[in-house]
Amino acid sequence: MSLDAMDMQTPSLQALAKGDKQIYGDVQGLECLRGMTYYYQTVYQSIRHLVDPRRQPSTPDLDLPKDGLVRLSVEEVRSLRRFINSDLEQLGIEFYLQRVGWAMSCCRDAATPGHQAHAQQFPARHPCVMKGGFKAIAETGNDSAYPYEEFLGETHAIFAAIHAHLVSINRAFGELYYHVAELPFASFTPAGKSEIGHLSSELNRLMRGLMVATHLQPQQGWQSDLISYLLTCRADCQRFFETIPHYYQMHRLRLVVYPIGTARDEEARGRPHQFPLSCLPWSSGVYLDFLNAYQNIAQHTLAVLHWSIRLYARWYFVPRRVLQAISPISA
Amino acid sequence: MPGLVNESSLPTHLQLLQEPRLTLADVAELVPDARRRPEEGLDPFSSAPQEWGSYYQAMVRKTASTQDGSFRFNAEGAFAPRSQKAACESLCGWLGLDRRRHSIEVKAIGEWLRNGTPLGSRLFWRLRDKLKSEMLAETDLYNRPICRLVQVDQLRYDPDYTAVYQLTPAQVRLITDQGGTPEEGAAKGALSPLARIHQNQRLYWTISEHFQSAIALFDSDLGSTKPSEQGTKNLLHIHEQKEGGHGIAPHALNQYSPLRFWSPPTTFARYVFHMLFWQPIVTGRDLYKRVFPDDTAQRIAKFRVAINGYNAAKYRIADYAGLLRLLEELTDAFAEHPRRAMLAKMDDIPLKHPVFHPREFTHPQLVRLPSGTVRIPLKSLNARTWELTSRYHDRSRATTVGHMFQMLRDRILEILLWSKYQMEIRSVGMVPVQRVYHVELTTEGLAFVERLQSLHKQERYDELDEEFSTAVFSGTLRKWVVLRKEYDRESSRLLTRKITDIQWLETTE
Repeated sequence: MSLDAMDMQTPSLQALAKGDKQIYGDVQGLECLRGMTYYYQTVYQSIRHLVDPRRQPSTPDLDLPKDGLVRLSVEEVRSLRRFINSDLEQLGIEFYLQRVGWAMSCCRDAATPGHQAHAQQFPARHPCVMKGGFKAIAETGNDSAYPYEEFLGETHAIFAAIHAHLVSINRAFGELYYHVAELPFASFTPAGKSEIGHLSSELNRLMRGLMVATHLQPQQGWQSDLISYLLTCRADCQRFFETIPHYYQMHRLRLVVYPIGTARDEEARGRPHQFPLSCLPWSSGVYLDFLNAYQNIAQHTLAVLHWSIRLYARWYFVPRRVLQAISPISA
Repeated sequence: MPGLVNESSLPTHLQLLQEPRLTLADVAELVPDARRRPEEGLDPFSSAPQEWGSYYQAMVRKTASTQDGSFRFNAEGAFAPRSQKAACESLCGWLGLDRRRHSIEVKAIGEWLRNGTPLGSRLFWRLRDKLKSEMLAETDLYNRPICRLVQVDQLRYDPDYTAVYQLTPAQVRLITDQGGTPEEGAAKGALSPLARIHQNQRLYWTISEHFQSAIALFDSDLGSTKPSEQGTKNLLHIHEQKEGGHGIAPHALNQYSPLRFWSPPTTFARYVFHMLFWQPIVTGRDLYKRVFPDDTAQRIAKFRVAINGYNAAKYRIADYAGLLRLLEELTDAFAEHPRRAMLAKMDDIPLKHPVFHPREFTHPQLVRLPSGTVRIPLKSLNARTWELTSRYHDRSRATTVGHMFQMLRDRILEILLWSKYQMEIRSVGMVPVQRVYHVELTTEGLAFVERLQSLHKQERYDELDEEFSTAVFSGTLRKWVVLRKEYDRESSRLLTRKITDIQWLETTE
């Protein structure tokens, strides 16, 4: 049952629906991924708060704490992850049932004026323009035209892989949150915090791509060419990897480059000196841990994008150059 | 077949797993004795240090057989020992209670065993403490094999990646719903499959992991296809908080649970295998009332043994101390009421203790909205007689609090008995299977089955139980069961359709 179908009387549910719209956009969300979505939002907003406490949460209607920092213990995070990962077990089934529902709607509305035009405009939501099994359901109106057993045979390996990567991403979120909550993030210099802020914003873009990849629906109208958008996300991931050595290099450079004079001289003159990040000894290892966690998430996201393109290719035309690009032996 | 004559030539469990054939007796040796706490002499993989209860589920009724026959259950599954005094002494001995020094506690346990009078918090604490001390820890199982008995139609082989998977209950249900029998189709109910999955997901977030583990415990009418008219077959209902939200019983929640049950090799070979395997072979119906073919060889051919390596990511050990806490709270919920009070006249009892609900996450949005409540439905059911407690009283009598005490006592005894054998390791969701074995019986085993089938046909159930329990506890039965390896992930042996009847995942390409 989608959030829309729930009782909308309570303010908190209304806020939740509004927050959902900000996060999901045009995507009709899979319930099994909702927990993971909120989990990521809490980690992301918590990092943004620590980077800049003056900044308001980017999803205010999600009813987050006022300051954006969600306080969870390590044990709570682990327990939460167990519930989220249990939900993920139903990913393939929900994906199938969602499209069966759409296919039945297509069958009912086939003769409705405007249906065909709508299908051409939003092909991801219309099995009548797919090839393969879901189209058979849309044509016959009978779900046994493409039973779950057959769907399982075609997609089980893909969903098993996507599931494994999503579980790893959840674990990496936990590591990020651990670094945020348990380690002296607050003692980072402004330079360090702004670097973390940049990385988080980049990661947020990748996560939007992950949402589109796992739902195989466009989030915004301009993403209607889904395969091109997924390829763009893939390029974003690769660019993200390229920036990691840059941050690491800057971190190393700061280890050896010191300003002439000392901090005490600066303080004596009345101007406090701002050390680069790594000149604070207790933060250097933490910074590298952050980089590692971000890289981890990006790698798994890239893998999910590849698997999603393979899944997409089952039911839609995908140009050969795209399949070559995601092939294991491609350059 | 590997020789296991003397300890100096005992193969390691890894060597045993590479053998193409194993007997069930070999499976019991897959884990070498490992003393977790040598100062206390505890060995988590051997039999319980005090055999005050050896529990298994017999073919036609639930019985318990011990070395001294202390604990027995009758045909309906109610606790019915031969001697209350012997049962009390046996349990007190396990708990380390001396009749002279702990006379009050001993008396309380005697009352509890006799009529279910609730134990006090101190005795519950003692039970939980004892359970905790004897439980397996995760570290005991790292890189150790764990076993499960599966049916071949729950397995699928992926020929592209040469991997065998066990389907989750939700997948099996969806496949069955789409291609099942009319009776199964009629049992679907008003909600669509997607709506049912979503409802289950919402309600699973409402309940704690302990409660999820206890679902099977409260699935009191295991396998029955007859719907309960008044909902009195299940003790608990889980309700959605939104107005008009209806409640569901744990067994309905269980239909989409991603949990599966595994066990360590020693307990699997000595107890769990027998608990699940022999009933369908002899009677033609399993614990879940599923029908098996008429031919004995075909019945045996439906089974496989799966052996995987334990890891803490996908597997969890059942927390019996936590389950006991859950039952303690249920007992306390009724303890304030007089024994003779009729359930139909009592208000519903909401259950708010954290043992029923997950730890409250700081952020409310992380818990799915709307959340649910757990309650014991009493007045709202308006049922004079509960089916759940029918084994404790005449059907013409109203169900009272006293009957509920007896039912809870038996559930607690089940936990205490099961925990001795560490049967339950839960896996979550899609699990690739590392090794799959065919189950075969030796000539002696087949003759034994014929004998049991004959006794069953003649309805000579007492003799059947006696023969069976003797064969199980003497270890004879283990030698008559042979496992022939069908698939081993490490050797990546390709399975062809000629050598396996595990269904392939087919593609249309």
